[in-house]
Amino acid sequence: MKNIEEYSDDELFQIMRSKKGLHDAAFGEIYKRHSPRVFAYCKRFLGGREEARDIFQETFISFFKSGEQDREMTNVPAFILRIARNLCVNALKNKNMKFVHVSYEDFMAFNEEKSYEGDEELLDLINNALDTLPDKYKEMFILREYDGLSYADIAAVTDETVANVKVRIHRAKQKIREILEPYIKEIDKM
Amino acid sequence: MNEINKYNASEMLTQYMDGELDPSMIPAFENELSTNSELQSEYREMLAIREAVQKDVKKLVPPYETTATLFESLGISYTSSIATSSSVGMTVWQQLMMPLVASLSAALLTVGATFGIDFFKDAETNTETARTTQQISNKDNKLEKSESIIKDKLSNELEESTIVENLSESKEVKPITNTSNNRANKFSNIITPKSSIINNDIIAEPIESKEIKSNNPIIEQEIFNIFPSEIITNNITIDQSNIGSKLNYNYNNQKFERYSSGMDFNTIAGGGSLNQIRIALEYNLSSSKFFDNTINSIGINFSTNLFSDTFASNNFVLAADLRHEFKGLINNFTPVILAGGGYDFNSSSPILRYGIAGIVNLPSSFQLEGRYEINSLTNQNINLQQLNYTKNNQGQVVILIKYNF
Repeated sequence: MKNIEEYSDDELFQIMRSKKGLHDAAFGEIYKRHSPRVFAYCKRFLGGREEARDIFQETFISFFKSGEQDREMTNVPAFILRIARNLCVNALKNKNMKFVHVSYEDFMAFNEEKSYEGDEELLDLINNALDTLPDKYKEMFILREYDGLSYADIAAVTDETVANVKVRIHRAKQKIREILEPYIKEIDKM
Repeated sequence: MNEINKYNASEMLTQYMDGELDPSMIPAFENELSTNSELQSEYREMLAIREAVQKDVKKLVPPYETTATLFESLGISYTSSIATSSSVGMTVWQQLMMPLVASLSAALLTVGATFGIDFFKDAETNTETARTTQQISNKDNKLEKSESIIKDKLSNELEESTIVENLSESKEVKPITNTSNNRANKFSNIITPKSSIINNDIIAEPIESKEIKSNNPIIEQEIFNIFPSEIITNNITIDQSNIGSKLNYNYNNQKFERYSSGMDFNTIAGGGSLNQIRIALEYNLSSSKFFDNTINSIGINFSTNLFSDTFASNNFVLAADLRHEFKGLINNFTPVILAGGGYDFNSSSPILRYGIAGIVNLPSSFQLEGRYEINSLTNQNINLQQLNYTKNNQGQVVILIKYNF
């Protein structure tokens, strides 16, 4: 006898598919577990655009509907994030949206008058720095650092090889570190 | 990648921090890390970035409205969908709000009684609160029954019909779907005679009693018709050595159990005034734990930086708020008397945080009985005498705070 929160994601998905008494509860439990990371992905992927909420909702609607299909499920969070990613990419395409890339110079100019005294400031800097990254690096960074996915899961979500993921994550982090280095060192001295 | 050199060390650091480094390389890499100052510097920087991102992650939670709209669009009934074992038939939001409302209401009531403050401003509010607590009481029985049924049925491959039938029995708990309009928002700090709330329906007879004593004498207590189920008594001298630490309790099996080794406080005397003491209670619920009959744990923090207001004319100010990581659900009610800000919607707790806080401007000398006893203002030593928690027969946990001036 298990409480519903003790079921694995895959078991919950099967319960959700079963259309039996607890299938809504199973969806609720999955939502409870994974909605924050999906929301974080949408928000950061789309750079805080209003569309993020709509896409977040669409993601879970699609996921819910996916239970109607006969499919094997082995990695629920990766599956949901894959849905979210596809929707985000489509949204960018359909609405002719582009990531707001900020040039390094603009970034430096924007931030040079700020005083950086702690994590909040560093967080602002990171978010700004994220916008300076090329899409493929930005996404890897988000999936790794915001969503906590393993390299293999990131590869599954993005249809990339693990080797590519490894390289891109490293480069993304190096790029962000490179941008933030002066500020981090400043903070480190305080 | 068999050798570590200046070209691949950084790459290996990334993998190491991500838990993706080949296990066979870890000892060699850690050895390199322990001796390579440049790598150490990079490590610290990457850690700083990661820590900052983690804080961002905690803030990025779907707003309540977004969740509500989503569930509505899926045609999922709150009442029947989020039927977890911890509170069958309740929604996620109910799970979060119900215990919160119950305990906080009770806590506020008690605090209000102590301070002579009526949080329940008008008759309508009283009625609504009583109704809510009755629902909570009803919930206990229903949930217990349903939970047992659900567990049995889950082990029998989730046979549908009976589960649904029994789930429906637990639907008497009225869903809270819009917290911005619930009666919690109607709480307000109105000073009224204590008698105005003593007979409130919320207060009920105790169902259990337990007392834990330290080697210090317990001050005689009178808790306004509420009998403590458990008394935790201790004594501490507050000074610089223990400022900044916390006091934690576990709530297990419907009783509080102290588990922290020390009795500490978080800057109990602060705010720049030696004659001011700020006291706050906070409840932190982790993501999978809810404050109800089957709760696994609940923590209480004492902190001092929540409210900055003072109520000089009456020597105290009391306020309470509800905060939640799901930011759409954030409620801050009981605005601080003589408002001046001071709310700190710290959403760094795992999932739910709510609290009450009081600020007391100390007179020249007095004794704070119940939670703290101020022995001497001259050396600012503060002795904690006792913490009182009550679980009454309506399933509420009442936090007792008593101050005698």
